[in-house]
Amino acid sequence: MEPALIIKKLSLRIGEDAILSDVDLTLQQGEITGLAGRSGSGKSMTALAIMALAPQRAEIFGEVLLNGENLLEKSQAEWREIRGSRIGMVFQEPMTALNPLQTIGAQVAEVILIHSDASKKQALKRADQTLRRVGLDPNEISSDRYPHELSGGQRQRVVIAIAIAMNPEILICDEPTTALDVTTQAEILDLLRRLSRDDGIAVLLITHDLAVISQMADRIAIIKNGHIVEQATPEAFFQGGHNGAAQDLIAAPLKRPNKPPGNGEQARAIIEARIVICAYHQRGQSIFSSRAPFHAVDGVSLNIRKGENIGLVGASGCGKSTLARALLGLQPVASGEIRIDGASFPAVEKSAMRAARRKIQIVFQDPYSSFNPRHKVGKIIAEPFHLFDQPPIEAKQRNRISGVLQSVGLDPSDAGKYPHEFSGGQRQRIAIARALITDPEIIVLDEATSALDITARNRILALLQSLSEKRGVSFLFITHDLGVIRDIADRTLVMKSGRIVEEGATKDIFENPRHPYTKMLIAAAPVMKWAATPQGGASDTPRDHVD
Amino acid sequence: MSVRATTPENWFSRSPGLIAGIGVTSLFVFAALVSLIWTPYDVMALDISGRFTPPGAAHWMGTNHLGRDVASMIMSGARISILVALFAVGIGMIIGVPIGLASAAMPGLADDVIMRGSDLVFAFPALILAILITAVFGPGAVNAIIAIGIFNIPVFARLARGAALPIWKKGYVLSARTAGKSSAEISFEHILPNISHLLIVQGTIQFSLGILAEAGLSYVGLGAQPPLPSWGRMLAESQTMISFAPWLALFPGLAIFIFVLGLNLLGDGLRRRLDPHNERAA
Repeated sequence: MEPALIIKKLSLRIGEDAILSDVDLTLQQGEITGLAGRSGSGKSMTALAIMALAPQRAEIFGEVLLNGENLLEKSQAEWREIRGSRIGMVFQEPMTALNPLQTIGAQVAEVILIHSDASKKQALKRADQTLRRVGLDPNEISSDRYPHELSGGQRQRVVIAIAIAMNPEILICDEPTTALDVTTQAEILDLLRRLSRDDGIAVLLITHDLAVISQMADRIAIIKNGHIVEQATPEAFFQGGHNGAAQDLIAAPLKRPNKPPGNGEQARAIIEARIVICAYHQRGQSIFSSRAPFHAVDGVSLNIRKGENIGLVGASGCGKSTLARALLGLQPVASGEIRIDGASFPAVEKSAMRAARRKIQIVFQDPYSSFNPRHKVGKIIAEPFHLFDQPPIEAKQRNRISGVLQSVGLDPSDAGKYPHEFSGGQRQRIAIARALITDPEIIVLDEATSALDITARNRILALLQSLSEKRGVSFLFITHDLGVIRDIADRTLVMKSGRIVEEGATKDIFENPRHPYTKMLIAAAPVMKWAATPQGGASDTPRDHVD
Repeated sequence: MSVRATTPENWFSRSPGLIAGIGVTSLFVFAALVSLIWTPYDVMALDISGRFTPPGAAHWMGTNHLGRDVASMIMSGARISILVALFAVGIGMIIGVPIGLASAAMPGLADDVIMRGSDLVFAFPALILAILITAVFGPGAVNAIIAIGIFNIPVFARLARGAALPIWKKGYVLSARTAGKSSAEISFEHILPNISHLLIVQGTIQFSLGILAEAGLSYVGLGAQPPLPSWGRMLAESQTMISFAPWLALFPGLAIFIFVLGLNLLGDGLRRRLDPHNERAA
């Protein structure tokens, strides 16, 4: 069969930096080509180069052939004909890819109006058909809704509808499901598979998630530092043969220490929460009726004992972050009771409050907004010293800072640098160091690894595990990533709509989920279709899935 | 293959407006400073016999109806304008920024009260209220400073509040809260340094508005009082003589126009340079 798109020796340079070097890639009609790589490997730049959307300063060489025509020689005017009509593109973040001021129907119709002679009425009609094709039935979800009225998954469907409205030959999807939670991710992947099989669209699926690729792709390419280092069918790729190029994309299973279950029973409780409710006020529909407050956390009780690692899992919007903030005293509690190490929290008395706060610290998701960009790392890490009545000063303080920096795998000299000098993974280490400085009993990690690529994630998880063993500190992992929970949590809580729907030992939850929601979450999580055999990393805890 | 290479542009060609703004502003500030120790003629000296001398080698910008040297008056007038505008911006920042920060730190009633209060001040046309204040408390440079300064308070309060609100949601503010820091400590340690670039830019723009407001007040006779030279009054006095001594209107008018333009270019250039959102995609 004639290939839909042939990329030959595509190179891209920005100034002195070679971003892409001799990338060769062929997209076949009706096939999904998976392009996987770490962040910064050049996978997104490949997509932008194909679409001629690379930054102005970039110099591009090579050929991108669509039906024998080299797209790189097209003028901007010719490109406007091609983009949206012959090549569609789906972006990672559906909210920013849509215009918040236009209805979804109008946004799909716009593409049709630009690329065909259709009248406005015809275009809107075709927009409705296209929305139906991506699973948004206009009878249920009217096409005159606005993006903010839709869920993340529905928005991504609209983005896909815009991309396929003109029946393009090629669909480029750059991390299309990374911003979505697992259940929605499964649906969107299903849709992409259907579009490729049924409509014969050649799909280029760009992702860092090898599990997604293993389930979706008919052909796999691995990109590293701008080079395609491996290209194969999934069977050949995963069943041996691969030369370790994908090593740093595979979530290496952590060696779990064999903690005897039930050991936690005797340990004292660090956090006890009883029937905690956190409410948000909602604007009333009229001045006469005020709507009932929305309970983001709706009667949650939990117990975390010393040295125990807990996973709290749920889809976005389930209230898990609100719960975390309530446990840290950052969010008022409408009713219920929280005790930190036996003492009521938030405490009325200032010194008692500070004592409680020393015991519980937090690491946030976004390593880029976690630090004041104008402070040096040493000052950032020293901030929690504020909680001490007599904080260590000068040499003593410097020693403490050096100590925590070393224990998170950084160099003491890093204290004199600014946060922007560090990578995402290193920044999360700084955040962990800041949390460790008060010698807390428990650290809450709010999606602390979800902004990191696989390698950085693995290293952070290994670090946390060793800290947990060495220092006896507990962790509360709040995440939508089941992999993190499975790797590191002793006990797992599943949260949905503000309530804990299931609770138990992590192993039991994964092997015998009871609540239908838990079952759905576990079933939806993408799992390696073929058992990957990382070289030299054969582990006693196989990562195969339970299903 | 089309190669869209861009040569590394130098700083000047990338921000010509900023350079022009810096140049014009420093020129006026320099003239004002020089006027402290030297002006072409004694700015207070009257020379009735030499009145209405057109611009020439002896008097670069001519003389007025009392024979005072216009160039000297422009130089000292710059000093008055800059002082009034500077103090007025200072009042606005010193009072307005803490109000805005407090407003952002205390959502709810306090925030509402503060912001509605600033709406109230905003509701009056700035110059009219300044005229009211100086009319009540008497004309003069000090009252002009106070009148213009009051107008700058809500400007800075709103800006500080608006800029501070998103920063309150950042991770580093949340972790400062878990470190037990008070709202005031967080505002000054974390928020203020991260909004300072906006305040500087707004300060420049308010400064240029201050120059205009001072000229307006002294035009209606409520600014600095004679014999202190002032651009606005020079314009007002020139009105009746414009047909036979047009330079009397031309030079103070040009001074106001060029200085305000320069300050706006400076403010705009600073905004482009300091705001990371305006950086070209790297």
